[in-house]
Amino acid sequence: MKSLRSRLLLQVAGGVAVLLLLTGAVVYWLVRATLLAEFDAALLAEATTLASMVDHEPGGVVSDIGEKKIALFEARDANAFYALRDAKDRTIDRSRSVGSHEFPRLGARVDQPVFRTESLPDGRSGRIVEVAFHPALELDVDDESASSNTIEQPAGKVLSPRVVRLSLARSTQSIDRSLSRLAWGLAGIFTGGTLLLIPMVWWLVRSSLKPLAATSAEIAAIDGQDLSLRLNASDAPAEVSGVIERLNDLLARLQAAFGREREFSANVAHELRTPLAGMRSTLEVTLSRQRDAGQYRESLGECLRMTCETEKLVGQLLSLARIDAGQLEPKFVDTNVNEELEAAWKASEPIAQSKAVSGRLELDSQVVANTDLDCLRILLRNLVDNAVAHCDPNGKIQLTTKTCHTGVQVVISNSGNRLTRGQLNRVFDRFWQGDPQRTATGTHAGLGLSLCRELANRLGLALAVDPDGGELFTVSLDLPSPSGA
Amino acid sequence: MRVLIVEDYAPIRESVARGLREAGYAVDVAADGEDGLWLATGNDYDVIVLDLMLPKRDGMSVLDALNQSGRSSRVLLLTAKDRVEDRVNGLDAGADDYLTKPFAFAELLARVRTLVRRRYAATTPVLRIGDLEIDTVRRGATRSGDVLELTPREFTLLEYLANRADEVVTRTEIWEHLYDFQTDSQSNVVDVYVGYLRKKLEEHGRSRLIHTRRGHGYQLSEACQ
Repeated sequence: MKSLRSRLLLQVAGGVAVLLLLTGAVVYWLVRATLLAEFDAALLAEATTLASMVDHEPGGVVSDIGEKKIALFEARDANAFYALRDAKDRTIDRSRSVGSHEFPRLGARVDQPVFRTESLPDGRSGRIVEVAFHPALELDVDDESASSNTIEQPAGKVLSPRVVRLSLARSTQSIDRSLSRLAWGLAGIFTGGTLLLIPMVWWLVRSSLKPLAATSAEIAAIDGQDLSLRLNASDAPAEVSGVIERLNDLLARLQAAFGREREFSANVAHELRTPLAGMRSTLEVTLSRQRDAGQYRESLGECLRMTCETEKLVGQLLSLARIDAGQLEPKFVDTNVNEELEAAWKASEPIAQSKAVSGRLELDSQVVANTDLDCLRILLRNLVDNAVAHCDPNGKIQLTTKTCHTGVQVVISNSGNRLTRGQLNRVFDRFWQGDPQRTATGTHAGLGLSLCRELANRLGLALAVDPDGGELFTVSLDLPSPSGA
Repeated sequence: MRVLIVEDYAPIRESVARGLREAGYAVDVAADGEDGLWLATGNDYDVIVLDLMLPKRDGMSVLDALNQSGRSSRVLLLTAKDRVEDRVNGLDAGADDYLTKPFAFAELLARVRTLVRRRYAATTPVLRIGDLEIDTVRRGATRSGDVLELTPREFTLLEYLANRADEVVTRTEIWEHLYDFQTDSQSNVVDVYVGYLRKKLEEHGRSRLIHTRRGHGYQLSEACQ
């Protein structure tokens, strides 16, 4: 049963029905017990009265009950029965209504009557009480000696009072009828209550679940295009408002994530569209008329340059995507860091020379680190590229390697830094450029340092920017010592 | 017609400028927003092709400044931002047109032509003054059905005069709309070209259309005043 409404309906209605049933049973039991107690008290009183009609005479126990012709026992349809037995369990007296029926022996003792529900001699259900008592001594003596329950006979023998047992039974027909009426009444209340309960609980559950339905409708109204909408928790009950608040938090996180995703896509689009637009307009204008070979060569060269820039951008995006997807599997080998740094500088040197930027390498001897060679090449190439690209014309670039007790450190710095301390904290963000107008579009997309950071993280290397470099933009890369060192 | 291109990405800036020049436009270029605004406020350009993401001063800020200066130039925004809200924002900010990168140069050219027509309140691409017809799309002119053999410079001069038909146009205005800063022109170049054009228009004894207003300039008009 997956529906919350059905589950609640079943559980609440079932619970209340069981409660009604238990309540009915308790009420029935209490009423029955009360009626029986009252009945037993009346029965005992009657038995006591009858017992007072039994005397102990020197000739034996004598019952005057029969002589009294009590209507209760004499009527044809009498619903009361008694039997009197002496100490030897011989029936001394019995009502006519008893006939030959023998009452069960309940083992009553003096002052300890015993009650039991039994079938009466006429077959009806009834209640029986057995009392044991000492009949009063009927002697021609004064009251004082009689009251002592013993009598001294002339022969010097003492007449001891004997225990006599009286069984008195009466039909419980009236109680049974009352209890039957009560039982039917309770059953009716249970049935009617249950029948009424189901629609009531259904309505109750439905109205209680209304806030959930309203929240569900609000959630359904939120589409992926606009995640700025928030669910209204002000009118919701406390149990639902907590869920709504968590959902709103989730929406806020989703909105931020989608925002970053959109910004990333927009940046990718911008960085790709611009060189594509440049290539297209260059080619279209070139092809718009017949030109000489020199002009064609110039246009093709320009397009080739733009293609290389785009290829570099696409390569960086792919590398980032591979790292994000966990597809990069580094192979750690002992690598000559000096050689790789020199190679990276040589690759960027022509651009540096075009800007009249001078480079200075200060390399420690035998700088070897245990890392992934391909990743290190990409890292160093991007770091040196970044230094050359952002170095001011006629500026200086310094490339340093040194061995320390923790491993190897590569430091690359360039002059012409104009970034503030706050901006320096963002240089590793994807597509971040110091100029918010992305003036370096087509030349630098703002991915190089992001790629370096991702690679460094993947390789477990420390890559940091010196926040106090002033006019020098300084990046340091810490590499581990070679294996076995 | 004179066009200003404000674009930081050199390949686009240079190729568009080259294409527009070859199409007969006088073209100036700026690589950042500050230079662009300085040129735009100091010269009477017919069309300004403006990138949005520019160094030093962004395109929207340049557009705002131009709007406040009471510009008569038409502005075409040329940008990589292609979302609907970007286009709406650009047009709402006062731009006359919006083109996203990458673009077809032919489309850019057509939009520039449209903006030129709009600037001079021309409703069709063919301008008619008496028996003179100037097709601004095919860049050709006829008089009484006879094709006029015009150089690009002569055609541009004729187009400008036709756009301002019946108005007296000063030499300075002609110079400003026909020549960019790259052109090495002499002081009497306008008179020389007007002379060439007038000669071709009046071939075969046709009536005079370009009238000299001494001390003022020239007037292209069917009516002889």
